Amino acid sequence: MYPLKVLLSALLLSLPVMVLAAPSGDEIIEKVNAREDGLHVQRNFTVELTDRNGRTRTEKTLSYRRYFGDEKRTIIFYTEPTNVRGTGFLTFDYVDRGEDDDQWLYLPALRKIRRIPSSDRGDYFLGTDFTYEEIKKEQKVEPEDYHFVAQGTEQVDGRELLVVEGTPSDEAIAKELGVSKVVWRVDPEIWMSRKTDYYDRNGNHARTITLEGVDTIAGFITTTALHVLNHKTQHSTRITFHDTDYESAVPESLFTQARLRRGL
Amino acid sequence: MRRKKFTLLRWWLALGVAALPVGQAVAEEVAPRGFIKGRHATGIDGSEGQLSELLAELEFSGSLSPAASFKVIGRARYDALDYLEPGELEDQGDYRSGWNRRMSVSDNADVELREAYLDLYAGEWFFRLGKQQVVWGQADGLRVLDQVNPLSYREFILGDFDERRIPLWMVNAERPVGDVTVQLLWVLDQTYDELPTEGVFAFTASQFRPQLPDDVTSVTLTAVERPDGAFSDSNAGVRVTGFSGGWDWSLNALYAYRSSPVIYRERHGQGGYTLEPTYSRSTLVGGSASNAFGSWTLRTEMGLQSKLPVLVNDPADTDGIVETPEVRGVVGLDYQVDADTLLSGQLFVSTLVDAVADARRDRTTETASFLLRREFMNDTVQVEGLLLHSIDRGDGLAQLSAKYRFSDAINLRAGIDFFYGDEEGLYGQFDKLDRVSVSVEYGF
Repeated sequence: MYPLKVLLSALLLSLPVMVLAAPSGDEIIEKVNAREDGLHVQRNFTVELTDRNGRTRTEKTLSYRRYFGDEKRTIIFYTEPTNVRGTGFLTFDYVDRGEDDDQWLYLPALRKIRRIPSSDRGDYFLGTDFTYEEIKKEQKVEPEDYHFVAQGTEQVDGRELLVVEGTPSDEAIAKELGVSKVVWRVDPEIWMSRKTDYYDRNGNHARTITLEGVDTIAGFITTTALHVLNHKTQHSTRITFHDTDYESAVPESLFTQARLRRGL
Repeated sequence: MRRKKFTLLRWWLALGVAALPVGQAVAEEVAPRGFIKGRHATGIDGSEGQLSELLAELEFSGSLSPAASFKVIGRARYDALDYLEPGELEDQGDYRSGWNRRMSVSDNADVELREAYLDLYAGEWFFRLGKQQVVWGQADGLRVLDQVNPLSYREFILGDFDERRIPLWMVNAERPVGDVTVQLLWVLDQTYDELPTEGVFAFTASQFRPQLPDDVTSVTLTAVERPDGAFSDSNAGVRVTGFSGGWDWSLNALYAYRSSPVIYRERHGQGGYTLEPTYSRSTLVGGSASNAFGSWTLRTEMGLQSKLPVLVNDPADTDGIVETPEVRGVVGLDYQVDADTLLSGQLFVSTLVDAVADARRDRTTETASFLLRREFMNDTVQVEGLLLHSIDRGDGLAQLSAKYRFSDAINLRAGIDFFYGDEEGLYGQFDKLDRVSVSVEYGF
């Protein structure tokens, strides 16, 4: 009996310590969202789109992002390949979820800027396997979209990651995002999810996003490579970021339709 | 005239040289780019080919300093059939200024400086100086405010719009003023629409020709009096653009020569007539607005042309022309069905402000367009159907095309263009020119 008593006592004594040590799902996501990403940034990124037959298309872009208060504006100029060169994309992302984002596309063949509908957050971004929401949030998560539950830890590539499961807050959000469940595996060293699984509204495993590269640039923890595999279509997208620069000036005047039309 | 051209050329060069920072004689970066496109079109009934063309564009662009950059685009074209513009290019002086002409290499080939401009940032000002395209408005294909650059109709309205628009030498200045952007244009280039007088797509409908009375005994067609005063005949425009309450809007004004001549008629003696193709000035004022609502995008555009010359049938009319203001407008609605599918419809209306008795055109004309575009196979295949239908005349053009992105550099395209309706209509006059076309484009 004595050893059992000792064991039970030890367990009871250690329980509050374990509870204090394991953050809740909300706390983990809060830390993910607290990660600083700079007032502005300029970077080049390469998008590799690979279909189920292994055929890959590669697109290269220059992009700039800047916060205007809480509002985030992004402008992207496509430089390669030749058939999309000169295409530009400008978006104003608003914090208020009730307000649709504003988006414009410059089409060099028409030499015109087209207003484009603000996409549903769950729509895929310009032919990639990333959704507009994922591109907009840049590895962060809208806390009001989900109920978060911590699910302990999981070893991924030798790292112990915090597992958080999120279920949509309500049916409308589930429909808008096109998910029934999301599982994040957050690295507490960088407060980014290294592997995220998305399940569609029928509960099927839909996509997996893998953080393939991360670096600290100018003090900011920065994604350098991100891969997503769509399990349904076997289509995948890899985005690699180059020349990320948080320090050079990114003028406010860059985020205008006039600049979108002129190009860089 | 020659002296004037030389002076203008020197002026442009001076602007270019002034933009070069001291000690920086060459561009920091010059990136040659371009494409080569082979295109063949033949009549649907298999009668004969319309064109068999090799088109090459070469573009150099680069940065001269952080505040200055340039772009130069040259184009060479070889058409083995030479049915669109038979023979060497002649009479370009009727519609192109001396410093904006294609250079004829042979009956089948010509070369052209397409664009050449310098971009300068100076404080809040942005200047684009040189030969360029400026596109106004929200409509696709149907022009209300998009009047700054003339168009080539050598292939009617077939072919890429970007390749049909004729760039002009101009000063284009922009600057933000508060929450809006103001654009000022000064167009020093008296170049107008390229309307083929012979060739496959020469206009044949009588609505575009003056009516001659029954007593006509002789007709003399005079040479076109193209305006050629670089300063006195220059065009000017201003556009203010803004974004407020979710709406993109613009206010536009353009004081310019109309881009195609109107043929005035003059009677002299007993049944003798002289026909005088004449370019006339008018002022266009208007505006545009667009917004997105869920998956829908609304595009609108309206313009008032101060003076539109209208051909009349009345044989007693002195010159066969009555001038009246004209209101044009277009409403477009786009529906993004899903990420791969776009549906778009437009309604274009033109109406004469004054009632014109015995006019060759209806007081109000209406044209509708419908577009369906869908992408397949990892966005490598794009299929598109476009219908342009003249509601008042009942004629139109239906186009079906498929584009295959064979690789990042190579595009293949096949298409059918089908004209139908009244032979006196804008589209119906080409009813017998239905065609199939194929093209291969290599970009670099």
